[in-house]
Amino acid sequence: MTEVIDAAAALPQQRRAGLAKRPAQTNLLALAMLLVIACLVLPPVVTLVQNSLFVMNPDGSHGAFTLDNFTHLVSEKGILASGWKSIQFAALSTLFSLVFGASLAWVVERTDAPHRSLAYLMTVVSLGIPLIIYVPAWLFLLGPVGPFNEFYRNLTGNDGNLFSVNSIAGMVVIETLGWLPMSFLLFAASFRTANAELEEAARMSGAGILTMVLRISIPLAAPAALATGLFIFIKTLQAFDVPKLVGTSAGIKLLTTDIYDDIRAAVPPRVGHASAYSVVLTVLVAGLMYLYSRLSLNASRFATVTGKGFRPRPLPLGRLRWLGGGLIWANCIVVLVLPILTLLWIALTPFVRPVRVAAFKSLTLDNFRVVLGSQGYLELIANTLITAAAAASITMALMVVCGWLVARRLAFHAVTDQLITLPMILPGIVLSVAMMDVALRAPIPLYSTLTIVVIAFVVHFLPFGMRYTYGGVLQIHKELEESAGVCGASPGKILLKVVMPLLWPAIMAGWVFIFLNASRDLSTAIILAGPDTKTIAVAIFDRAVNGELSEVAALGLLWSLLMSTIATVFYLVMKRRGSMVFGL
Amino acid sequence: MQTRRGFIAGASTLALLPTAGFAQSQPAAELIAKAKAERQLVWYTGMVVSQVVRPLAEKFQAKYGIEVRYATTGDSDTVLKITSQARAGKMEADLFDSPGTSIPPLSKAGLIEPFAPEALAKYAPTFKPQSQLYSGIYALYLTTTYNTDLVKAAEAPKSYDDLLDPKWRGKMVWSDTRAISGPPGFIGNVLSVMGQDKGMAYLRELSKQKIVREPGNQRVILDKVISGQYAIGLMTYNHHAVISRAKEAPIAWVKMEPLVANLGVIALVKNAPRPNAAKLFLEFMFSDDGQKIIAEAGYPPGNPDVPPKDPSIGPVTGNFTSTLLAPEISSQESEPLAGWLKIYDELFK
Repeated sequence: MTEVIDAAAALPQQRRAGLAKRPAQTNLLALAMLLVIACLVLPPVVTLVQNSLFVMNPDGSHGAFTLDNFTHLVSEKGILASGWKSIQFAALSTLFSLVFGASLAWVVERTDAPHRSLAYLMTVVSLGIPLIIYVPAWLFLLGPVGPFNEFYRNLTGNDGNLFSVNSIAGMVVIETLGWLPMSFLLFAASFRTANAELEEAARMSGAGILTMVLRISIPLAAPAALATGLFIFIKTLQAFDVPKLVGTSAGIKLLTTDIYDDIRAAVPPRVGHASAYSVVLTVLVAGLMYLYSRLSLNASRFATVTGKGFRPRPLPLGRLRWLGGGLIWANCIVVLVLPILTLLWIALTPFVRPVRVAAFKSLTLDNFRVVLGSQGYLELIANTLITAAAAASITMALMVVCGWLVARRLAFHAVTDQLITLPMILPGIVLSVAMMDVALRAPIPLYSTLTIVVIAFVVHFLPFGMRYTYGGVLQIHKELEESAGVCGASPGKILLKVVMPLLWPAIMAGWVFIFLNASRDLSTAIILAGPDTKTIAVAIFDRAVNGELSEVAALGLLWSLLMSTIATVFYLVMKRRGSMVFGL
Repeated sequence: MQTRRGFIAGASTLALLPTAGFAQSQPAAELIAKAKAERQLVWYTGMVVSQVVRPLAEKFQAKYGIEVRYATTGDSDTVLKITSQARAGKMEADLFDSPGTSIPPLSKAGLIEPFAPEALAKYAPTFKPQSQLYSGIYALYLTTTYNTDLVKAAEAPKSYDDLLDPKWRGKMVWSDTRAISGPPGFIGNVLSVMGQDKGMAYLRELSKQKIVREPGNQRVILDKVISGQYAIGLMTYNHHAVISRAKEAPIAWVKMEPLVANLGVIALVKNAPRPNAAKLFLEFMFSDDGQKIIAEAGYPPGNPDVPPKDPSIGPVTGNFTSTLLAPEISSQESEPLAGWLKIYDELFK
């Protein structure tokens, strides 16, 4: 801020008076944001704490105070063993999604490797596949009757399996694949906005590509990596779907395995246990967040987008171009081609069967015919697109402002940041249950409307949106905003005319991520949907409960196709607009 | 609990009564008038939308001009929603259906309005409990299935004792659901048929067979048997096997008697905003016209005058015995299910 004051001193009298008002304006903006975020986040958090500390009566109201939910956590058999496995699972999944996501993003955004646009296509399409079929697809592909193990048996004449997917390794593979698109999008946005001058300077000083990556690119990406890593680590520590679906048949227990039963199998769901786990996790995370904030105190030294011209140029890989292209293709095959082919196989066979020559004769379009033959999809599609787009837009709009306020350490930045982090700890179902209560108690009719679904999504995706904008703002040097301030721009105008255009890649990446994830979210949609607010997730749920996997796969594939088409078109349009903004 | 003897006795006694008149009987004009005044109803359902829910809704609307609005929910969501709506005094739902599991918690919370549709008069007693808390739509039957590519019909297990054969060790799978339609129901069936001591001895032997627990519903388990991942599926639905068999899937079901019968039921919500439209809809659902839609979707209808599409899946037409695990005993928090769950956790988890 010193520079601003110095500059202001040189200004004529009337301009100085204008500047003095601006901190007040900024504070007002920060206060307004804080209030909005608090209204969104606090009600579900209060419900979470209540659920963990009070007995749930048969009618769903809260009864006497109890610590049972917490003692239940500690008294579990073999808690140390399952805790250790949970940490292994979370740490490995985080590490792999960071390494693969970052390297892919660097190759795509920084080099002249061939087929780079493929990486975006891969990400958008894979984010469009509903998890309810993505996980079974991988379990089939890597499972005992999957093509890999079949091939191994045919080759060796052996009876056993080459590898068992029902293991910690299998869990890590599937969880990593789930986080890879987000990790890639985050790093890509950060690499795209970062100024390439430092890398170019390293190259010109004679550094090899490896040295440059190790000494310049990786340190520059460190704040983004740290934030993303912490985020993914917490989310995977809390994940219960993959550990349960992959580990159960092998008897592998993680800390969250029982929570799956409490939430998915128990009638009514016992949200108390999950809530207690989340409360414990919140305390642990608060510690981690404190460490993290200490680490990122000097974040401004990572700012590479400055007032000095900004035109990233791709790095020529020379003879290593094929390696870059290979990495892109390998990622594409693993994240997209293999699961899509598996799902196609499952959808085209009349029933789930191993990939064998004899089975090719039975391929049929019947499952697609059944799915397309049912009516009523138009309403579901419209509802889904409206809620997902509204949730993504509102979240990103809020998070542009908050990301800026927090990254610049303006008024209330610490408490705003903490409030936005809170929903990260809320399991989806706990949030939905809380939202249902909020809707029923609200003076305006909210229950069974699309509005409450959108609000729930916004709360759920706030921390995700924040990771995109916060990381982006960190890279923009303050000098640009300060110049605007000196020229008399209000905080609103600075945001709109300076920060937002520069943040565009991060905003777009965040929007697409939230849009696609909201459109495939199942638990929120099921609990909050009323008779007039059904979404496509509800149709998928209906088939998953009542139909065969082949039918679910057919519906899921058609849905993914529609979603990825929409997302791709949107992305291309925005990219062209974004390019114009950047003047590229 | 009830074995087939009860089942068949009930059915045959009723067959002697002059029931034909009921089939044609129309709901009272007064009910129709009140229902029409309410104009619509809301139904929370877990049934197949395209095959059952939408056809029923459309036919009902065509007949009475009353709109049926439905929302797809699972059991736990149904309980959460209805209890929350009741607490807030903003009831949205009029009807909900369930495989039984949501009946105990909602009846405990006092949120079910007792009602017995007149159209149920000719149904077996199983479908219309004294409490009138629910009406049975159909009974589904859980049994053993096997992959016909991996197991020859002659070698397939026929009785519960056959499951103890060491050659099936590690090759059998069941769902890890904690409802009566999963392993706890199997345990309950064995104990009720063999008695406490013999039953427990049998279950201890069976636990040595290392039955694999897979997460997911009965349909998911059957798909894993069809794909050849496991040779034998326990506690899978016979009508699912028949539907898949029609597509030439390598699957067959065994008449391992007594099978476990699981009721699909529907109930009226207490303080439902549109009670008359809901009642009229139930009359329609249990009439011959309504039950034909159920039969067409591949379920064995409860209505004795409407035969299942495939006669083999029902106990009367398919000639098998069964143990009914009624919705009343599906509460995980009370006996007998709580006890069966304890045995399950000790022996099979």
